[in-house]
Amino acid sequence: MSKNGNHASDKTPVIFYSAKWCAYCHQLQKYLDSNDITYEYLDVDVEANQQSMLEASGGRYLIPTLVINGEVYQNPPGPLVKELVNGRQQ
Amino acid sequence: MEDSNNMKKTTVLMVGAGPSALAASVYTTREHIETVLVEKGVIGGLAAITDKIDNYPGFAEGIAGLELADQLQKQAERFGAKIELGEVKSIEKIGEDILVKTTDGDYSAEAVLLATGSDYKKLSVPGEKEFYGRGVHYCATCDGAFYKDKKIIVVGGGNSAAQESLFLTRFSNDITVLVRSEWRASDVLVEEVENHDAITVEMGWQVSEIVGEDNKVARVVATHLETDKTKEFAADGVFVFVGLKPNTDFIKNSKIELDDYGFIKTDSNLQTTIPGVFASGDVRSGATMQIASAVGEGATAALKLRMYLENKHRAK
Repeated sequence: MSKNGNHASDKTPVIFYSAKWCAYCHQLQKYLDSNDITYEYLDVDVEANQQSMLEASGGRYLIPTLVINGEVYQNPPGPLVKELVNGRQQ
Repeated sequence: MEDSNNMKKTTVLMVGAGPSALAASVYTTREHIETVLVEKGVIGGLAAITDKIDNYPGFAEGIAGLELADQLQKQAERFGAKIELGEVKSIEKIGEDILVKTTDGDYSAEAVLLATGSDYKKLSVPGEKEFYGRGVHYCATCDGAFYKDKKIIVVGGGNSAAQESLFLTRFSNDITVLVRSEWRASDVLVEEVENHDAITVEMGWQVSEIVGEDNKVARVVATHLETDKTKEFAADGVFVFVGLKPNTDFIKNSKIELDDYGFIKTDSNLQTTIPGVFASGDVRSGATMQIASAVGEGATAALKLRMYLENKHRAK
């Protein structure tokens, strides 16, 4: 399962739209990594990823945007993400 | 450490993990005082989402906010500070200790530092909430890159508005700053903004509505304070920087006294109206809203905390 590539994986329940210039994204990524939460990282500086994020979020330009089991969360706190994925990746 | 009621115990609990609390925790942990910081937003606070910090001493060429926050965090953790992500819901003194309820469980601490900082105020006009993220933003370094070659309106006349306008010129050469009455930013910043080719400054405009089309922002409606004339400014993105409000909602029902603007009142020891609960940085009444001041107050608060703990233990 790729954490930092742009390769889709059916096994990945978390999609993480992010950018290298986003402080909130850096912090959340550190939290996800330190809690062994796997995710598919999509850089919104890539146009196709940005479009995909906008489709998922209903047009909201906010990152980090996470899609967890089909639900969209924008700038969610790390513990909430952990709670949402808990049990699925352990 | 947890007791039989799953109550976590620590010597010092700091609410917030911005520059003030991080600096304070360097001091407490170097003295081997067990310290936990609870942060609900981003570690480093507003400093972490500031593009470049030019007025923090020691960095001749300035430093990126994210880099400064990262260094502060690493320094605090090097000495043993423990940073938890969660939101503090209430604070109450029970006997000799302080009960702090958080979304991540309850803590019992011997002393507490409140360093929750402040956050950007909202305009509170129609359309602002509806189009949040669809054109309305409060952080240029977070969301500015989405507006490459787009028309941007910046609302505000303080240092943040000026600094963020300059940052946004990386992405757009069509930026209009709407200042309600007069500039409150430093002269250096104002001069840079007013002389920038990509920025137009419009003085005297009060925003009354943000209007959208096709599910995103299309224009800003504003009224001129002197002429009472109403004008529409076309916009793809609206960045709002109209002042700061203290993050003190979680203590509004506590015994901690706040000033008329919601900032925490402290005495000369930076202690609040609850003994053992201290406050420092942007959230404190009288704060100068500078990172250097917040760090200095954090160091002072840590020394006062230590003195409080020593006196408390001596009295036992």
